[in-house]
Amino acid sequence: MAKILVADDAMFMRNRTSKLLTANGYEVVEASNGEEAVKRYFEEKPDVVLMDITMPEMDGIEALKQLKAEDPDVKVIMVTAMGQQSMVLEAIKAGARDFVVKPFDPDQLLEAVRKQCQQ
Amino acid sequence: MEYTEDLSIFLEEVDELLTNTEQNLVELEKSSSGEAIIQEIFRAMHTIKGGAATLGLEDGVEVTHAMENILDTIRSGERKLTPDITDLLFLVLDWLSDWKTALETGGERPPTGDLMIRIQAVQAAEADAPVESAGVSHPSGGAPFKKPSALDPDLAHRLLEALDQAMPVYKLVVKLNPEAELLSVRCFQILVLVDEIADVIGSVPSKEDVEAGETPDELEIYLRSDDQGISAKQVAESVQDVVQVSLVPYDGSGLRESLSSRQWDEQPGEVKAGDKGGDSGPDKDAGADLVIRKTNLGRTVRVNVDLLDLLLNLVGELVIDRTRISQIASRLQASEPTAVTGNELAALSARLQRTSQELQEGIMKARLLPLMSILAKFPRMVRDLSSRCGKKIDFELQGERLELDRTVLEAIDDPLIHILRNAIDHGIESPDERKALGKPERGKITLSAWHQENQVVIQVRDDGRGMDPERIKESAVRKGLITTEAAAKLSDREALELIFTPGFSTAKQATEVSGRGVGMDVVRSNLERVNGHIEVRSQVGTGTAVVLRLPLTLAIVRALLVECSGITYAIPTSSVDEVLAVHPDEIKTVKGKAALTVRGSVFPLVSLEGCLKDDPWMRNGNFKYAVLTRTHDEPLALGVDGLIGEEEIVVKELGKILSRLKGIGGATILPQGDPAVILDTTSLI
Repeated sequence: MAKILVADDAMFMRNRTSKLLTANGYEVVEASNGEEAVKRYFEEKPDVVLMDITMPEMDGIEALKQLKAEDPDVKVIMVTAMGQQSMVLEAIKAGARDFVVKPFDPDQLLEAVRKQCQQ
Repeated sequence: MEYTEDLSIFLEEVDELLTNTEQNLVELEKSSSGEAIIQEIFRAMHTIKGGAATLGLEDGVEVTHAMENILDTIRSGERKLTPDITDLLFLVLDWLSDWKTALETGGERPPTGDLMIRIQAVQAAEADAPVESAGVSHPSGGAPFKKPSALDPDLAHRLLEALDQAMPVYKLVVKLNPEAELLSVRCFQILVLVDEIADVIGSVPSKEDVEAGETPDELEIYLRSDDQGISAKQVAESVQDVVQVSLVPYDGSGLRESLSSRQWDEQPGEVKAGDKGGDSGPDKDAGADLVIRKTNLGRTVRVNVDLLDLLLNLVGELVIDRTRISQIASRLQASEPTAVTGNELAALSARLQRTSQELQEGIMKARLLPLMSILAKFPRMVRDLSSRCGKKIDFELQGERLELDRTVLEAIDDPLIHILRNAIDHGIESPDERKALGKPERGKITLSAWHQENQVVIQVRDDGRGMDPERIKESAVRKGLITTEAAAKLSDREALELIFTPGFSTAKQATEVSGRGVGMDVVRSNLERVNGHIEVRSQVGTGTAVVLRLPLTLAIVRALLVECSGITYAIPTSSVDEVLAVHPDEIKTVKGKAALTVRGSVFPLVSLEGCLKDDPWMRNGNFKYAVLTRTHDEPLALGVDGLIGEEEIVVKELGKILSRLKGIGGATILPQGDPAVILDTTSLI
């Protein structure tokens, strides 16, 4: 069973995403900011990270960069909203494997996660 | 339903975000700068937008998105933060809070029309002001893309070079869904991914153009690879929003011709969109400014207060059972054959007592909430009220992280509002008056809280005109609250105490701000209900300080309120088994004493009135209800005249002298302000 780290500062979004993933057989761990996400990543060694961009303490891009520096093979899917074009771009440049746009279609998210798990 | 559950989590979060935003706005207005604060507000809007979009709440998305755009231009320095924008932010905040309430209560959601007009007006007002370089694309739009007809000469050259070498070149054509969101980023993602597994010679549009915001719905990627471009094709196919991918060998036909026929002029006035306007990088400034407060959820969970109360009640039950065990233990200890078992049981009971006590303390702690939960709204309130009175006031909060029992918090909320209003309306002078007095134009109100021994002290201090004891005395005399002679004997301190007398109000007439509302007497009785205490210190010309002293925790119990001969008594629900209506003909006489049979069991029946008059068996069948309880482990029916209801009450000690009164466990002050005796049924008879 693949393990997914869901990093989002909005409890509502975390909750929803986790529910969706759990219902589809994934194990989920959560983080509510970038700093926590980095910490949890190395504690839990998840297969894929779903990373929100706008988060307190440390934003998703900085977290991504830190993860990437420690583990170049980390698989991060950025979760973004409309209007964050340049940030997602920066994230892709920094090594994010994929991104999904909020509000996401559950199937799309699952598909993105599935793809990363396969690789 | 899942949606309802999602919604309620979302709304709880919105509530927190709005509270934070409100504080940030007030902070922002004071400092009129603070990138970090803007960032924080932006993030709040952003989070609400995300949730609203997911739940299909279009109106919420519309408003937060528009606001996000405005904030974004401020963040990037394209636009200055003007008072208009701050006001607009307050309006948006109010709208969101109405919106949230409507969603909570299922009421009608506020229309977006008027608000959107205001937002658009603000947007339009400054649209011409910002300095924008040509070709700056907007985050939502993106520059229109020219069909990839002619190849960029630079790429053409590289292609020619590649074709001259032995390895074949392939052309990968990727068609994307033109409706997809963040299309240019999607293209960029494809370019990056393909670049990782193939030798990309170039693409149309180029990576740089895509990065600059060009949004094509078709990508041409020229590449070489060991596997004839197959893995590149697979990678492209796996990307979201990709509709079709085709892979063809590229022979460069027509390339030479097109190159030779072309003039080697660099396209004049080339638009290299230096687009960094929209989203200017990550929040590099977040956390730089420590003034803003962060909601740190930390290691906490939300618990419904009802659940806490239930737990507290259950602990109460435990305590009762513990008492019974201890009684059984002493019975066993009393006789030789069972003494050993009795001792064991007694030890167990002692342990149980410690555990249940710790449990109770733990739950009492869980009822604590930060003072901030009620103070959060005050900065905004002070801002609004002071501008309405035409006063300039700086408001400062200190010690807002202290924690208090929620019952105490509820009890001090209104009093604090009242005290603050008084300070704004009567305490602080108008700017002109202050100037004339040689005081700074801006008045200052400080609300600070700190621990002192077993109490929390909250002080509201202003640097206004202070209260004049002589005027207070005059006013009290005029209102007939005190005689002239008595007034003359009062010290200044005692004179100030007069403001707590019912019927006293120094305001000549009710003003809009202080309102008619309650007086300081109600404030005091509110506080006394939770064992709190209030006092006032004031110096004419320098200001007033109102000091509240509050207990850290409270002994709170749920109690059944009953009436007997017109007096209200409280019986802790932990000692109430059942309540029945009693008809006179149901009362039997057993061995000359009154008794009640309930489902086959016989309960001795005493009247509460009789018990308190030390004549429990007093025959007077006036009571209409019986409370079934226990006394010394024996069942007992207690006759009362009336039932008032259940209430959460704060237990007050009666003090040493009264503590030995039979049947009385303490006292409380009822919500209406009257005192009531708490009965201890175990010692009633």
